[in-house]
Amino acid sequence: MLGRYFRRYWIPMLAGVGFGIAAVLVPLALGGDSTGRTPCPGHVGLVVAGGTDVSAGAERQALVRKWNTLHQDDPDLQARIVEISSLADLQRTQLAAASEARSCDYDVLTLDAPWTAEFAEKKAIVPFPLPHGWDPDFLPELRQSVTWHRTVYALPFNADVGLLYYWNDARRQPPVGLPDLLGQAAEAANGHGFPAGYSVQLADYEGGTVNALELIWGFGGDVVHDDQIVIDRYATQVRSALAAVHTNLPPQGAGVDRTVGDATEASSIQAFEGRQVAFMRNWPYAFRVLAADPRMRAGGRLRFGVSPLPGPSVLGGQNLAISAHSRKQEQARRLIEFLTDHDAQSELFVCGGFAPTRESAYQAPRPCLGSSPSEQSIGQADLTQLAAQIRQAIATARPRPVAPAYQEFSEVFRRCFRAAALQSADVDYAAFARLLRSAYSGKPLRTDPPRPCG
Amino acid sequence: MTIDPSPGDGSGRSKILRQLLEVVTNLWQLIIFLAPAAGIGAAVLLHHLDQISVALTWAIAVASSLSGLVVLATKKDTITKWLRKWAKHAWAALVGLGRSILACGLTAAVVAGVGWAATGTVAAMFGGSCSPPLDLRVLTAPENLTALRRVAAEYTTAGDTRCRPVRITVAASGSVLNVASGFQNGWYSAPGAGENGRGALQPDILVPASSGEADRLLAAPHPNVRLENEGSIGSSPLAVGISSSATGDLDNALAGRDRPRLGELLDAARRNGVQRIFRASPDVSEIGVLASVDLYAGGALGDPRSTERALGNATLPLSDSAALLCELRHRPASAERLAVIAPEQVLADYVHGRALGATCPAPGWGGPQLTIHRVSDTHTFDYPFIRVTWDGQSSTRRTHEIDAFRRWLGHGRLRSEAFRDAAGRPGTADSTGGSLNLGPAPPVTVRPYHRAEIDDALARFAQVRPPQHIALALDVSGSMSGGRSQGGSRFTYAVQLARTAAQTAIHDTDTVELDVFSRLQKQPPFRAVAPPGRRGAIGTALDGLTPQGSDIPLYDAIGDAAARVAAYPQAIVVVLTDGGSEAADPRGRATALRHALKTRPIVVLTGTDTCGRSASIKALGTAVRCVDAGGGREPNDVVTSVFDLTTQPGGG
Repeated sequence: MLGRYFRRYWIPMLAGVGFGIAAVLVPLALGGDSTGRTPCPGHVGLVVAGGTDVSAGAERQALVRKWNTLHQDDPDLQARIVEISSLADLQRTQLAAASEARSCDYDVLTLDAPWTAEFAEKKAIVPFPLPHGWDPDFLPELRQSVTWHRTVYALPFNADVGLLYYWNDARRQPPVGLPDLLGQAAEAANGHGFPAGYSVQLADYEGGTVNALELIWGFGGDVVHDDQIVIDRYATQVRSALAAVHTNLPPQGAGVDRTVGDATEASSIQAFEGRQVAFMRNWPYAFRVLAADPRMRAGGRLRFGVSPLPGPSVLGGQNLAISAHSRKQEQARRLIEFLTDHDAQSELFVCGGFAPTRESAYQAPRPCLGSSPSEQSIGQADLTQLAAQIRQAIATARPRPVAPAYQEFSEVFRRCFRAAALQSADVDYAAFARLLRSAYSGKPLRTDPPRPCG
Repeated sequence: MTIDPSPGDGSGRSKILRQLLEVVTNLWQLIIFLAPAAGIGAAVLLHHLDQISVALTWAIAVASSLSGLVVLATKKDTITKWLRKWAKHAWAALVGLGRSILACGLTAAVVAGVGWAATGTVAAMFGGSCSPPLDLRVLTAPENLTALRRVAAEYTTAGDTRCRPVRITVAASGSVLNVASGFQNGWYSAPGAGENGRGALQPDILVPASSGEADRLLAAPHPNVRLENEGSIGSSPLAVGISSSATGDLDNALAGRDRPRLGELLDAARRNGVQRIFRASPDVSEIGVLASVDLYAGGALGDPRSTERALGNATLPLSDSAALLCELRHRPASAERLAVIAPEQVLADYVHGRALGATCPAPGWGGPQLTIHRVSDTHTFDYPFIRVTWDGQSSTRRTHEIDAFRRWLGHGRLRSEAFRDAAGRPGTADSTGGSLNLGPAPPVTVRPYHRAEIDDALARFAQVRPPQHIALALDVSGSMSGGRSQGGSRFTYAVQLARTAAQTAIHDTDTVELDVFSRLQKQPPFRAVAPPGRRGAIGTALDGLTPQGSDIPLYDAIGDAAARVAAYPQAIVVVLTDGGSEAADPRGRATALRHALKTRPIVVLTGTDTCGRSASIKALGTAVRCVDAGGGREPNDVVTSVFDLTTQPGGG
């Protein structure tokens, strides 16, 4: 019967196959929108787009200057950094908008670790050419953040991991777990003359998401596992994390700094420097800022210490990727390889405070040669100790969820967590999980501002 | 086959010939007979050709129809048979065509379905992941951040579509000069090149506070970018927030008048204990410039010089009204009476505990209680929607999304955010879910600021301060490469402050002298002077400077800088440093320096040391003015504090 139909209607069916294939391929080829674009004006040299260089000595700039000197005869290889914003959210917006418009303004994109999936999914960046395969000197923990659908799209520029900073006179012993740390923090606030115990950052920005995830992980909970939202399965642990923050805030307690809802990395450093808190969660760059302050030393020795967090930290960092719309992709590849090689990574660590992405850069780091005589230099012993602590922290750190709609997920997750932790908002975990699932797939549901947890 | 001719008819051929002859004869007779009639008929025909031809056509048509009907009647069976046959054939063809189309369509659907499923499109349409939304960038003054962020969030989640088509980021635009220069250089700035606010976020939409400001922007040349004014999205009048403790006294002084003139209100306020009146600085704030239009034009506080003397105070940030009110919110409530001149909507945000700018989240309470006073003679901010199209970045999708957002905003969407609609009417709905409708507030007549008025106010503001000789002394010692808690180095930040000052608070009439200080062997002498009208040269001079060498004593640096400008009657000395080094007990040297100073230098601390903690600064007492530049303060804030007119010798 079917054979008769095929014989009788083979011409229309053949045409149907053609139409069907066209219906699939044409939209894909057009990328959703191919009309109305104005031509890209182009530029001389290479442009690296990213955030503000937070290193004290502007070491990334210094590294690019070094590259330019090495290639001073080739105008096509002269590179410059465009600092978009100090705020990660604004950086992402500009990079995403420029990519969507297929702008050729940028050749190299500096992407926060969780953005790589989104940019790869949108085809805003190209697979990174690895003719000799993945360099085993790169930290294995970082591979996931540069990979999307088993393809490497970037090279890791710097790693980032949460560290615990403490005043030496405040810590009894290395805390065993987050509850123990909060206990020691409360004790320091009550008995050691610190106005508050622990400074974490729960302001409404990406850092707030990072800290909230770490708090939940620190109490044995989880939010996303194997690409599935699981927060409702860990309601007990999440409830404990929220209660720990809430009960340590004034008026109930002083274990957590009362400004936690507005706190950012910078304000935490100020609070720690000023002995307003005994403990602080911060990124590795804070070490160099603190070590450069004469008040943080006594008899030439540091008055503060650093260790991995007493629980899993978020594994952060920034990756360098080649823009899909760059007209100088080969030159961009060479620049990225230069910025991520062993020498560059060592220099960025010892002079700029950036956590290296290469194993070899953690071995026997040598003090920065460019330090001025009057700057509080970080000695060999301190550097070695710092390197070991960072490496140890990275080994137990966990990446943020990898998804093209990470930004939506982050906003929804943070909004509810802040409300629950800071304002004791009730959390219906099933409803919260529904909200997160929806956001994770890129279609956040609308919530009333007073009920951010659904 | 054979033919049998009929007997009596003769042959068939002769019969035909006979008949032909008969016909020809008859025709000839007919012609002869009809010729006269035909002649007359032809004459009539020529005379009435139109009518006759119409009549003839009708006659032929009727005759044809009648004859056709006759024929049809006679051939009915044949025709019916033929029609049936044709209909049967046509139906068969139609069914065949339909089946072919169905076969083609079904095959196409199956192939496309399999293809879409394989590429994820079906999943996206019916419950799977969505592709990332388009990012739209909106830039506006800090005073409008709260409202625009809220409506943008509402818009992005309001659509009926399952997948969110757009994500809108609303950012603060920095100073007015920042925006203007941004369009002229493609919005890029080299790292550390001055104002902090711009970065490289190229806006798709710009919402300035007035159409006059929009006209100024549109009139300037902009390579590679196109700006289009698409009309007002709301309005808000200039108003005055005055300490609520003064309300009763003010009502008495104004005899219960609901809408006094700005001059009358400020005069009554000052007579009733309001000692300090704040307004954002016109050096950096669009709102500051626009408020000056009303203040100068009406002479509310006297001439421009008297006005500036009465306004501003380094105790609050003057970079914008939101930062000013945010700082005020962090102050303890006190008995002191004060006034803030700002847009009605941002004053309402303060009064109702809503977010203010980028740094004051909601809910936020604290600070002195203010009551909003409307006046009758000020202009209205009319918030035009400016579409920005960058060469190389436009697309149909982006254009469509901007169109959709503009349509959705309409002329009154912002009414739920303490604004008024484009006609000056407040929102009357209930304020729920964090929205704020002004409700019973009376409508205002929208009177936008005009470009000429803004130009005039800027010119008058520039004339208020006499030309100054400004000495910038920059610490380039090695300690300046130390870090700041916000990231970056103290030196980078000090350079950023110097650039920002050169772009904003330093006027074209000023002379600027840039010196650096540190102790370095073989240090080449460095000194750059920018004469009036060449303040941009300072930016060039700052290029390439790097920290090197050890500290020199702070007092030496201050003393040297002050000595260099001692000969000038109108001089400002600004020392940018992280504090440097000084003797453990600096009191003796401090006394000597105090006696040597002829002017009052301003020391700006960019490191971890603060004015309150620094022993060397405290030992100098009031001989110097110290400004803290730590704590994440924006360069605009610091610069407006440094160059505050009320604290300058000979100024304002």
